[in-house]
Amino acid sequence: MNALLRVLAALILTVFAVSCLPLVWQVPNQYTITARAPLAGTVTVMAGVAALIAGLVSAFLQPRWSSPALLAAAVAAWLAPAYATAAGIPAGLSAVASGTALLAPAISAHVAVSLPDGRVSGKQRRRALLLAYLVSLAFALLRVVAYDPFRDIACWSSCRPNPLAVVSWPEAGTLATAGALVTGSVVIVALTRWRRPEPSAVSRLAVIASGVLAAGLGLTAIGAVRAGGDPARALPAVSLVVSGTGIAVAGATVLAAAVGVSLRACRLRALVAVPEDNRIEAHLVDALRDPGVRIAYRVGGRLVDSEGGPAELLPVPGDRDRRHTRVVRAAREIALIEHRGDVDLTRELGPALRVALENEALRVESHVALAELRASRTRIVAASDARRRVLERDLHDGVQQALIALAWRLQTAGRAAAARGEGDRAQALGDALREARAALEELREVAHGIHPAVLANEGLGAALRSLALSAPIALSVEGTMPRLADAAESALHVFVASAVSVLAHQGVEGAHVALSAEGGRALVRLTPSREVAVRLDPIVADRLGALGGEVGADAMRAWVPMDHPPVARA
Amino acid sequence: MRVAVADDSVLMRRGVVEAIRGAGHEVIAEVGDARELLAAVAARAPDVAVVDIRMPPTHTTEGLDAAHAIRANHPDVAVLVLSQYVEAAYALRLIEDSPGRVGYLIKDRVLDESVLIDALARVVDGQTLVDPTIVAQLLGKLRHDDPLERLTTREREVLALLAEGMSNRAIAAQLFVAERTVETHIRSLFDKLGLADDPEHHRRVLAVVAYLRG
Repeated sequence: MNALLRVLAALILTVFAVSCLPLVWQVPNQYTITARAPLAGTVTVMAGVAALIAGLVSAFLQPRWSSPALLAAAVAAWLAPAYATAAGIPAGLSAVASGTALLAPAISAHVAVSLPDGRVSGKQRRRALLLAYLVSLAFALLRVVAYDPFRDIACWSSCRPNPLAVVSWPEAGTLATAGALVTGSVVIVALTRWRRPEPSAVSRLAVIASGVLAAGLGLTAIGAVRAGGDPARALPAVSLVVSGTGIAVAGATVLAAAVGVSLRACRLRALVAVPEDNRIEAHLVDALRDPGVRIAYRVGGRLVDSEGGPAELLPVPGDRDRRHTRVVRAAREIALIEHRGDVDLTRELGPALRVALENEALRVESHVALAELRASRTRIVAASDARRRVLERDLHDGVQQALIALAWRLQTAGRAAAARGEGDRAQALGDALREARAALEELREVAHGIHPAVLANEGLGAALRSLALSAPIALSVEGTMPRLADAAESALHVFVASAVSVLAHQGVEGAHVALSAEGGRALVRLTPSREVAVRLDPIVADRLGALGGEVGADAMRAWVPMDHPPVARA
Repeated sequence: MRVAVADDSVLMRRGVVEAIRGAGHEVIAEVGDARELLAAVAARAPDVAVVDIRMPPTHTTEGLDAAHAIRANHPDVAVLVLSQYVEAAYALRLIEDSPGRVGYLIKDRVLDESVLIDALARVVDGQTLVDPTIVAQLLGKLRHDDPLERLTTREREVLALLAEGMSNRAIAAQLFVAERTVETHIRSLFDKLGLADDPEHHRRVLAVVAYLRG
């Protein structure tokens, strides 16, 4: 339909241009509208010219929009009474020009309904507009073929004969004029949605323009019927002024919108030069002047925000207030942007910005993956710790009790045998008892090695002091630390135990362990009595890393964050 | 001696009970958890309660809490805690929490009834008791410029027995020397280690064990 409209607009403008040519070298006569009603006429012409200029500038700024062309056509048709009566124009052309004027209300209605960029959404609305155009065309034809101004006594402007008139029906002129005007007003009123405008100057202007235009067209319709459209009379003059104002405001709206979009495009282009500080969303908010802009990235089938957390992009409601724009690159959806409904981001988002968004999406993806990886490491470490604690407890509760009971029965049996005088048997049972007790001793050490119970019960400080009692080097422990999650205390304990073992291997005689809690971290510092190079098993760093902590480069200190969510004690 | 026994393992309980009865003492209560123990102690007023350190509900250190409660509410009742942990931290906690007449014994001692009965007698008598295995561990700890090196052999022996909770009289009997000799040794070793002596037996044991643990 756009192409058709452009053709229509071009036709009207051609008629306009051709008809205007004589004006260039001929002074308008007393039959022109400006002569007839100086104030109203001047306002009409000036409004028309202003709107025309606005339309031309907007067409230059936004070549894809149809509203500038439509506006120009509406103005051309609107000004027809002004130039159609000039003496130098051939009579036939004058008649056609007058007919063209009757298309002005329909075109103006089109502009009003589709401000600011010329798009009309909805099949029904487009059909209604088409109907309005057809009706107006009918009225225009009626005016051209049935009205001969020469034979009309009420004719107020250049009343020349109309060579194209096939019948003569004086009332046709008034009827056609009024009909076209009413059609135009009805369309504007019916199709413009009188809802609360968005808080932007352009949409407020659009509402005003539509309202004033409708009022003007309506008044002009009445004026056409009551006063024959003669601008010398009060009502038609006022109506001309009002509709002229409407056309001018419509022009201003189109221009303001076109300029706004151009400025926005400049801001969006400038965004590419912004340093990569992971705040594309904030910059987009600035560029679009829209605080409600949200960017969500698609990672692993979910929508996440720039921090990797779940994004709350509400589903698009029915109205045009907010829109979601999918950003696609290489056939993959990388981001979803929520923004104002009147911005066509798909078109305005340049390729450079898409690349920036893709980089951001990659960063978010890796951030999410890293977080999941860390969480899974933590779970694995915690699960393994829990298993060890359970194993230690099972060994103590189950096996040790059983061994003690066994030893006790061996002892009882041995005594009974001795009492009965069975020396050999008593001896054998005594040996078995000794072995059972040795097994008990060993069991205790194994269980302690798997997981020292004092670590879970009393904490890291007590466990390290206990470690110091049987350590292969002289270990002194100083300082305290608040209770941490089991996994954290375990990881730090493993660190000290392996460091001590390495130091002993290197022949170091002793070390000092200092526990402290500072800056949100639980810190363990080891000071050997002699400086040596220490390399720890990578599992030590792994366990601490899984909790968000780390081992120092010299392997002599380790820390975990104290606010790590504690894992439930098993 | 009237004894109350608490242990959630039936096997262990039976073993302890039979060892005690075998030595001619009376078991006035045999229970499975701390709550029942406290009730029995309140009702039957034994001379000593034998408590497993690990009992329901958490199976960690309920025995220590029970010991503290009994010592606080029934000062005449001594408490002997039986533990499978050779863990100085628990022994220390026990001595710190409770005002004397407590003992910490490794569970294997059940097999040495004489040691068990002797331990019961000692805590009833008013001494504080720390299992020799723990003391051996404390003494075996490696230390920077080991201060224990400065002690004579005799002084080390006295130190060990002190840490086990023996009174001067008991140490003298153990080493076959006069009580006055023991006192001299104690003064000397306390000097060398920089410890302040405390006439109160319980606090003295605490000081020595804490020092050795470091």
